[in-house]
Amino acid sequence: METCVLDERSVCKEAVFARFFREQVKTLRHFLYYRFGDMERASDVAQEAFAALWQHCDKVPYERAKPYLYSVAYRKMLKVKAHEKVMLTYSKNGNHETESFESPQFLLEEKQFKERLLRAIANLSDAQRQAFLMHRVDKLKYAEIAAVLGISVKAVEKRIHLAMLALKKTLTEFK
Amino acid sequence: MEQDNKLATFLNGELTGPELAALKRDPDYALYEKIKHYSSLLEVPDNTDDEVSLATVLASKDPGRLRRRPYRSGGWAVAASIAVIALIGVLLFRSGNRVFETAAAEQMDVSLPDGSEVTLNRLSRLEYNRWLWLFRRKLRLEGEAYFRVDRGGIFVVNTSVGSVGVLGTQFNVKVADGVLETSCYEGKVQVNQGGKQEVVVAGRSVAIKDGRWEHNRIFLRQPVWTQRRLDFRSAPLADVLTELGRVYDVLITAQQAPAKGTFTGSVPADDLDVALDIIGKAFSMQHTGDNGTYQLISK
Repeated sequence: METCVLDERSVCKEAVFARFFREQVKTLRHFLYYRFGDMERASDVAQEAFAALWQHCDKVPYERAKPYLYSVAYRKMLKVKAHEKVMLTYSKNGNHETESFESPQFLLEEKQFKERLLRAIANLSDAQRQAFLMHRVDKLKYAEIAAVLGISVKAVEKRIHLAMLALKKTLTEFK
Repeated sequence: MEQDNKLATFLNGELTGPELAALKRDPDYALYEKIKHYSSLLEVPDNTDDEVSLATVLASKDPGRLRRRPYRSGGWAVAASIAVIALIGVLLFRSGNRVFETAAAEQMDVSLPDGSEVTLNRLSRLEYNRWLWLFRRKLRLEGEAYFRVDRGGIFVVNTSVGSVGVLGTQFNVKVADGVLETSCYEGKVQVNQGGKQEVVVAGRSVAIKDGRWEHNRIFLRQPVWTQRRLDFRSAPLADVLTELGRVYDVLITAQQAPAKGTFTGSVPADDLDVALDIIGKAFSMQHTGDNGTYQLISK
């Protein structure tokens, strides 16, 4: 009975693999992007990592698929020397209310703050930026971030905390 | 320790009442709130098409790979003999690989082991393994090719975008710039991409671009590019010019056309000047014009 259940979730099954792919590919790509700042490259490496998983699907049990994926992707990404600045944008939906009700002065200040925040995030250390953005953009829980980075939840919290302090320091004029 | 990472707990929205109250007394609290709010609005500029990527990954697996089973009772001798057998297997397998490539101004006719025929258009590449072919008619295509498939088991064409499967038919497959275009001239073919499948019947074609499926009709009996010559039998001048215009995608008109007389013969389908020269001679006319508009004038 148990083997049946395991078989059901084998990553070698195209349907299981496709579902897993659709769930994970975006987060994986962003994970790589936050660290290395090259979307095209991140996208290629994410695809290569999935191809490796598909190739070796008979050796990776379903529960290990996610850690396997991230470690393969991370190792491939490390071979890339170049490192570009991470570019981000703000969601259009979040701004509706402010645009209609706020004063021009507020809007100008907001615009300046948003630009400075982007720059401040780009200047965080790689490890801090990665953990911070996985939480803020991809809305992963600290435990999930810890799992894919292969570190403890405490360590993730530490990184986020330090990221906040670093951001505060660069943005202190907006207090 | 808890206190150390309080900003992480704050960002998480999990600070307890007293902890939050304490943080609110911090002169930097307003700035923390701002960072928390605006960072939650951040997005990654990401236009990657996941479905195309998934199709590429699924197609990446070598079809010749056999599922390996862990071998329990060890021993070097066993391992070595397995390695030798595997090596021979790999060499034998690779010796079965057949690759056909065409240059910029080249077309190629390929006969497959089952009698099916393929015409490969320019700058294309076709690959199959003749040992695997015994079990499954499966090949890989880059570029464009026209297939005339004999009846038999399933016949599959894999491309970087998706795959096309058939049972005895004539069809054209073109893959370029991430677009997969399949035209069916006889029978039925099935197109697979990103978990989606569709049957294309004779006289129809489907183009897949960025995961979108576009449907079209086709009116020819086989792709124009395979016909390097055009044959005419007792064709009046008007018919000849219409056909030439269609093949070359140009407009050809005749002035003071002879009322009588027909043309029987063949002209090239890849050299309009020569074709017009031959037709002109047959009807005692001269041709002029360029850039898509041509005229035939009586001498």
